[in-house]
Formats: sequence, C-alpha cells, structure tokens
Amino acid sequence: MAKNDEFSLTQELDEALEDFFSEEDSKAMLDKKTASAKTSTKKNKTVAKADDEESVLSLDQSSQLDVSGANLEKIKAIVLQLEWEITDETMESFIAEVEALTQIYKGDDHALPLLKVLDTLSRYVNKNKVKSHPEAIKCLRSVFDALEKIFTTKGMADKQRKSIVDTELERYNSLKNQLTEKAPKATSNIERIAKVSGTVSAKELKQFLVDEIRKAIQEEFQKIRKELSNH
Amino acid sequence: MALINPKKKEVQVKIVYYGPGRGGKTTNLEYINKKFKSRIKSEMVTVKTYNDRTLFFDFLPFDIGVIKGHTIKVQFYTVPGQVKYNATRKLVLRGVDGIVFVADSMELRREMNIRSLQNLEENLGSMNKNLNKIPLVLQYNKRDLAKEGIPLLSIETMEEDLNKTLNAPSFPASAVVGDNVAETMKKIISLTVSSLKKKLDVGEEK
Ligand SMILES: Nc1nc2c(ncn2[C@@H]2O[C@H](COP(=O)(O)OP(=O)(O)O)[C@@H](O)[C@H]2O)c(=O)[nH]1
Ligand SMILES: [Mg+2]
Repeated sequence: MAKNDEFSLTQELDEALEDFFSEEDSKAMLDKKTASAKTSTKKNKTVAKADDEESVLSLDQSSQLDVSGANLEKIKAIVLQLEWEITDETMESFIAEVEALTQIYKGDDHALPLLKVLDTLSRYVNKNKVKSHPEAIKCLRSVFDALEKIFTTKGMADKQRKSIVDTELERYNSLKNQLTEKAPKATSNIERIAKVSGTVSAKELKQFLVDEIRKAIQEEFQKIRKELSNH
Repeated sequence: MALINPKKKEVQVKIVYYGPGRGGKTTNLEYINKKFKSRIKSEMVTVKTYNDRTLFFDFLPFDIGVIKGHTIKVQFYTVPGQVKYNATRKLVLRGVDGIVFVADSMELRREMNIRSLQNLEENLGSMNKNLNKIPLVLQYNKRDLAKEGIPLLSIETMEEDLNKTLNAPSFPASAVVGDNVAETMKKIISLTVSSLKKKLDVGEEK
C-alpha cells in the first residue's frame, strides 16, 4: 500500500510538473478554449434568434435558457481564463455578459442576487487585477458554478435553489467583511517576502538588510576616502 | 523546513539556487519567470545594487499544482555570490528544502565553483544540516560559450570537481539560451517534493 501511495505521488507530481513546464504556451491554450466557447456561442445564438422570431412575446423557459446558455458559456470561458490572467479585456467582457444575463433574469429572485454578486466581484477584480484578494476569484468562481447549476438543473425545487443562493451569499458576505476589516496595507517587498516565506520575520529581514546596506555604504565610503587621499 | 498546512491543504517548499557570483543563478530564475509568465501569478522580486549584481537575493514564488490534495507552493531564492555576503547567504539558506548548485563552466571559474560549494557545505554545517541529505541538483551553466571559443571545463572535470562524492543529478545548461533550465527546476522540485512525502502523509491523516 505504501508502494502504491508512492507511485501515485510520483505520478501526480510528474503530471503537475509536466503541465506546469509544458512547452505549449498557456496563452495559446486559452485562445483555444475561448475559440471553442465562441463557436458554441454562435450556435446557441442562432437557436435563440429563431425562437425570438417565432414568439417574441412569450420568452418561455427553454428559449430563455438558450439565450442565457450562450452568455453562461462565455462567462465560463472567462472564469477559466481568470486562473491564468486577468486583463481589462476579459473583465470587460465578463461584466458585459453578466449585464446581459441580468436583463434576461430581471424577474428571477434566485438568479438576480447571484448576478449582482458576480457583477460586484467582477468590478472589484477588474479594478484590482492580480492584486485582488485570492478569495475574491474563488468566490467569483463558486458563485458562477452555483448560477450555472440553478440555470441548467431541470426541475430544481425552489427550496434547493434558495439554499444554494444562501450559501453563496454567505460566502460573499464573509469575503466582504474580510476585505473591509483589514484592507491590505501597502506592504513592502521585504514584508511580502517574509510573509510568504515564513522562515524569517519581516522585522528581522528588514533589520538585516538595513545593516547590510549600512555596511556596504560604509565600505564604499572608506574606499572613496582612500582613493581621495591617494591623489 | 517545509511548511505544511493541513487545514489549508498547502505545502510550501523553499528551494535555493546557490553558486559562485556571476554563475547564472538570477538568469535561471529570470528565464523561468519570463517563459512561464502566464502560469506564475506572483512577481519576481530582486533586491539588487546599482551595478546589477545581486546584492541580497532574488525571490520567485509560485504554485505548481495540486498533488495528493495539497497545493504545492514553491519559493525560489538565489544568493549573492560575492564572498563578503556570507551573512546573506546564511539567512537565505534558513529553512531550505532543496538546493540547485549553479556552477560556471568557464575554465577560469574552476576554483570559484569549488570554493562556493565548500562554502555551501560549511554554511549548512553551521545549521546542523548536511548537503548529502538535502535534495540537490547540479547545473553546469554557460555551455553555450563553447561556440564563442571560450575555454570551458569539460563535464567530466566538473563532475570530478563537484559531484564525485555527492552523486547528485546534474545538467549541462545555458541559462541565457534556456537549455535545461526548466529541466533543472523540474528535477529539484520533483526531488524536494518527493522527499516531503512522509510529511505529506502525516498532513493527510489530520
Ligand atoms: N553566455 C552565457 N552567459 C550567461 C549564462 N547565464 C548567465 N550568463 C551571464 O552571466 C552574467 C551573470 O549572470 P547572473 O544570472 O546575474 O549570475 P548570478 O550572480 O549567479 O545571479 C550575466 O551577464 C548573464 O547574462 C549562460 O548560460 N551563458
Ligand atoms: Mg544573481
């Protein structure tokens, strides 16, 4: 059994390393993902359009899903992309897609609060980019997953929907508290290193560097003095 | 001293690139940081002097993925090569889990390589650590200079000088070109994380 464990660890490790250091540029991978999302989006759009023409007035559940399906897929592609990079472009299209969905689900008590959270979170991430609180991205993904579940699970009981929505809202609120309570102070590089490394305290590191710099400057001055007195 | 956080399911490992000054440690990290930029969500931090030589150290942290349910976070450090900065080297070595020794293949750097490796052993010794017991990879850097007609040490000589008793995995490399830079890093991560297996298992039981 220990053997097995070892085997699977090595295998998992190898796979993770292969993935990370693979030659294929991750950007290219993403472009592919987005491209496939785009093609399916197109298909969905045509379906939705046909529906629109047939019954403009009665936007029934299924055609609503066709339209939102396209938006959902686009958002999904972007959510995946956020794992790699956060750009103005991705975030702006994210916000636009959420807005489109909000229009469609204006009257939906369950979807609307989640969409609102998505909107707020995406604006926050857009503003802060990679400096966003890591929980914000996680929360965004989680809310999106919940939304997708609500939209795509057929015949979900109202009670279940409500419980899903409540869980997400709770999560969002606790994130909000975290963000407002201790707005991350502007930390210096040194503090960041110390914080991430955990092996040296920030104070220790700072003091050490100050001492080293002082020493270096003193030595340099001594050399200069010597140089000057030689002339 | 890997930090394992069973609650957050995180394992943090510290890997130090060691070696003589101007050997190419910073260039190794810079290459990785550039090449895999889109996968590295953090910034590389370099604390350096006016003339671009590493005075203190470079720092590059990133996650490599999830293994056995744990997010593996690796932190790479380089040390300053100049003799007088031994205090910095010792500080950076604190809590190290794995080491890459970047040797300079130029013939005229032969002594410096040997001295730097000795210095590494001494510094580890002062922390009651033994180089034989720490995951280690050797890199013989600047192989590209052969094309320029610059006299290089043969791989055999370098193995004899540096790796005879250690018997660590070794790579000829070129950090500027990128040859074997990722391979070196992959190897050290793999050795280091595997050596933490026991700790990982303990973490899992909790
Ligand atoms: N030709 C060549 N030059 C290199 C190579 N690696 C590093 N250098 C150069 O060597 C010098 C010192 O490199 P650096 O990474 O700062 O060394 P460190 O002091 O070990 O961090 C720089 O000018 C690099 O461009 C290599 O593989 N080939
Ligand atoms: Mg350097």
